[in-house]
Amino acid sequence: MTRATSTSRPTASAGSWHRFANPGRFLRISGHVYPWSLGLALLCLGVGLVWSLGLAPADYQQGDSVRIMYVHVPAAWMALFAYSLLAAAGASLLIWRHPLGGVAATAIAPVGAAFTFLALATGSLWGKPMWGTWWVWDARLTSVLILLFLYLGHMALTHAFENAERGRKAAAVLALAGVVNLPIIKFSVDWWNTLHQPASVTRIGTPAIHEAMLWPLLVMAGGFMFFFFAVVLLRMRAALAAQRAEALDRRIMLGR
Amino acid sequence: MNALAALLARDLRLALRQSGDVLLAVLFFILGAALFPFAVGPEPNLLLRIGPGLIWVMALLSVLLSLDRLFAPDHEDGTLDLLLLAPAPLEGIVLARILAHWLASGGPLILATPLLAVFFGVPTYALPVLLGSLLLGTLALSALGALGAALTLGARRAGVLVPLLVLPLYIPVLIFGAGAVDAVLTGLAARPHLLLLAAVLVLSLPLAALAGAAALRQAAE
Amino acid sequence: MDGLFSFLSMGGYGAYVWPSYGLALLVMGGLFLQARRDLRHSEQRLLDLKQRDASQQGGRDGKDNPEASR
Repeated sequence: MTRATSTSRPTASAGSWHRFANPGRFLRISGHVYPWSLGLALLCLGVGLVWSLGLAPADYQQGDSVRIMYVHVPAAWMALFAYSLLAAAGASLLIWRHPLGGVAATAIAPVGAAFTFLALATGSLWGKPMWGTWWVWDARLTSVLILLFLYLGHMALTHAFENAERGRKAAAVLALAGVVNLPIIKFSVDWWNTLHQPASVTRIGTPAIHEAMLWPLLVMAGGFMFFFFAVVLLRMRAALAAQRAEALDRRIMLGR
Repeated sequence: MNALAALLARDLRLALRQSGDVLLAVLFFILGAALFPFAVGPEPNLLLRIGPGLIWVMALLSVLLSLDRLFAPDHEDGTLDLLLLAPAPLEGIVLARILAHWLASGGPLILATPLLAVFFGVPTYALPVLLGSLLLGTLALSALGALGAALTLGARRAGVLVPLLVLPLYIPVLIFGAGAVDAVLTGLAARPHLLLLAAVLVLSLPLAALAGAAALRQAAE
Repeated sequence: MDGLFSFLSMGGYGAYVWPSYGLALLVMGGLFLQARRDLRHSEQRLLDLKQRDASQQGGRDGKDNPEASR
């Protein structure tokens, strides 16, 4: 029996990890990283916007509607990427008791949920002209919808307790369980979808993407990625400042 | 092992003593399903088409309804703190609790299922698959539900939080469970669905035991 | 002028392309502005509390406060 798992025992390496957990150190590093992250995000998004809306060619089948891809696909990539980071942050909180892990997860979840929502909404806007309907129970759309529910559950659980630390830890367990479950959910939805393929919907296959579309897509994806890191860093710094203010407030109230 | 068996026996005795709860869940299962003909009309072909899926959804909701009995009473009266000190691994204790919950909630639902099968005109040859899929599936539902129940111990509005956490995890169980019955009714093999359902079950049990135990330790801290 | 119109109409798909980009702008802009507002708010509060703390400590300095030297 692996009784002594994760939460009950500080690991031998905990000391060395706490060196990095020092908020001061994080604030210093993030202070250097943030301007670069934001600058690169604005640069990539600016270039990507011009490229995807103007310079990139229209698709020979889908016409100009293919331009929705340049926001839809990066948003969907970020939705998945953010969830893996959410789980990694949760793991660092549970296994190494890294306090920044909980702060990071709390900062990541709403941003990931926003990108998931964006992927769904733009997918719907793309689906209307292509499939003739706002929503189909397509395997991918359905999986992303479930991913959105996982995010919302994580956020609700984080804030459901009087003790914020307990909320962060419970949410970390949920995020890890979600990572184990995501492939199962994905597989089951694919299976279900091939059995119940909606007959009225004509689906356009996705051929290998042409280079003239791939480059603007990658630039946009880079912009989304840098933007994500900039916002998460901002949110983490805000949370740390709020924590310190909270602690100071308590100390003043107790009159030392 | 003895400790776990004793725990299982205790949980089952408690469930029997509170058989009113079990009965209410079964009543909810039957009544909820009986609402649908009023909503969609009594046309037999339509009812047969939606019947198996509907029975599955109602079983899932009934299990969901009984999840608050899993750990919350023990958390409130302090039994949980004793269980953490018990001479048995906490993961084993969670598994025993899952098993007890399954016997007390999934079992009665399965017994009531033939009645609903009659209501929706599900033919007799599909009944074994329907019951078999529920037998496997409700255990997986209890396991994943235990995870949700353990995570929300002591939370504000735990009652509305548990469905939000647990329902996304329930989707594979629903897909393979209802899919098995659908397959029989359309003349296809139910075996792959049932095997996949069993695979989900085999993965859910250790996941629920490990994560559930971690959540219980956090709740007791 | 014709060029602008044809750009805006997006080959007839303008009603779907522009809302997609608009929504992305709205969601991402909202994320960024909210995060920045939260940070400013928290840092301002921390600063206020620090000042209050310092003035309290200054007032009591030298009496019975062992932490005053910090």
